[in-house]
Amino acid sequence: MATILSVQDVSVHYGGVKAVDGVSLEIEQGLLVGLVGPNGSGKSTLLGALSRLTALTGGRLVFDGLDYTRLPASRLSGLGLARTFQVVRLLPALTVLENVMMGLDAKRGNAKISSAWFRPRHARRVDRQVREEALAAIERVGLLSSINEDPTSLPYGAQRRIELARALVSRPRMLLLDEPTAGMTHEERAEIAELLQQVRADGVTQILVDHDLDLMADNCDVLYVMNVGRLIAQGRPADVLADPDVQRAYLGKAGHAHA
Amino acid sequence: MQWYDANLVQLQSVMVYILLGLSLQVVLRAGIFSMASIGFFGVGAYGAAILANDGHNVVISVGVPVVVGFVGGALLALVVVKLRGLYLGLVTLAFTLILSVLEGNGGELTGGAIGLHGIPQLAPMPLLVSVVLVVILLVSQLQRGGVGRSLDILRLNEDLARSLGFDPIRRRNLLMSLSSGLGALAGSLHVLCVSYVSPGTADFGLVVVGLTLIVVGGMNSWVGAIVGAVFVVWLPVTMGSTIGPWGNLIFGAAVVLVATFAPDGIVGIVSRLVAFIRKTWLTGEVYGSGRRLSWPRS
Repeated sequence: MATILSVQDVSVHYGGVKAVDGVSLEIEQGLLVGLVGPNGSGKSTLLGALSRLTALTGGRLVFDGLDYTRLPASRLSGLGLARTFQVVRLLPALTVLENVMMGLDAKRGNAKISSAWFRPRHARRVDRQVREEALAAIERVGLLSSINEDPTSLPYGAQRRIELARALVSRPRMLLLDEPTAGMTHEERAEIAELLQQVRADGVTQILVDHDLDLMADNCDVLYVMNVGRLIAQGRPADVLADPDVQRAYLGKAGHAHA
Repeated sequence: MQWYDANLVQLQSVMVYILLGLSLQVVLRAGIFSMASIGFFGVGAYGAAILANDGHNVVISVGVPVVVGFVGGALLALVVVKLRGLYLGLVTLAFTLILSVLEGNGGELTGGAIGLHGIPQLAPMPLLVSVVLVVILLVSQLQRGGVGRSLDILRLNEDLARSLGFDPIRRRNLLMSLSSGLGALAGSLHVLCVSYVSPGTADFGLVVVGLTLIVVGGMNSWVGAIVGAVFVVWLPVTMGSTIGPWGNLIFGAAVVLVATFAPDGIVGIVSRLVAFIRKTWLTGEVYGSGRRLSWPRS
């Protein structure tokens, strides 16, 4: 399979702290890739670096043959690289539908001040198209009955799904997911896992950071383990979790544990 | 007509304050706490005064200061590009106060502490109303649809804005430039109505009025600027004639009450009421109602 994302010797240092230290990854197209590690191991910082929100100290990032190491973060959604955040960030003053539409506005040029002023009819037509696509994305995450609700009035699991819809509405080729199941109940986690599998079936490559090892083991094709800013293991989930180095660094001597 | 003649000064003030309120609202909606437009109100006022006194027509006297406002605002935005929240508020406040000091020390050009008088009144009411309507039309287009949502994202989180494909810095700079241009427009029209200008025209007092206006009216919608403008012009007048010296006290109390209990202003209260009525007694359809006007309650 073709490599879609190539991470070459990437480092993020804050003064003397090496949050990410010389990490290299080759991510194959269409896989659901898991990234695990203890708190502070650099997983979220790495996702920040991959999405260009965190400045690199060194290294190179190549997405589908394009070196985007110096590209601004705002250009990535146009390339087909979307992400979600650890903290739910939805606008309570807007409806669920509008929150999801935001994910496509920039790509469709639906937020251009010039067209709002000088081509109002064109702007309205684009807005209707964005609305249609947003509705499709909302249907996908199973929230079509709530499109007019205030998103923050919905259960936490639903809010996470709205964020997923917002990331998916732009039809990204790659999705970076920062702890999409944090704070969820068991049932909500299962729903998200099912959703991620559907996204995988569509051929979208995903990098998933999460603490739920059972979820990771059951759903990921490949698992990477980080500790103190470095990659310490990679491979099939079952092999990786059985690795003695991983057991020592991440799970402690007791063996199996939930972080 | 009798009412119109008796209240002409108030009506002119409302028009000018609507423009000033919009200049603050366009940035505040996006979470940019900039008071630079009040400084540019002074620039516009002096610019228009000098040009009109030199015999230039209204297009030149207003147009030149507005362009200066746009460009000046863009330059200022570049200088304060790293500042957010209260820090940006403080720096833009300082900028406004520095301008007011400069205006008071400009020698013959600005007339020093006395200012400039006898400026031709080049802004009749029809012109004023037309300008305000055009500006409202342009600003309101920025608050709906995709552009409106992009401002909301900017207020919520800049990283999110980036990851959704927006360049928050460019959008911030553009909004600050627009805000400053609107401030200059308000100032230049003001001076062409009242026909005098002094360093007190755009000093700390105007900052207080401007912020009161937009807090009371509601900073999340352009409608807030209109409601706020009517409020700050008419409430003191009405209060003054009925209860004399207590007017200011009630004025201040109203501000405190609105800011404390309705952070989204009068427009927020009304839009929430409308949304509530629609939801309870009508179809349950809230989308597209006043809901988008309310300030996020997180």
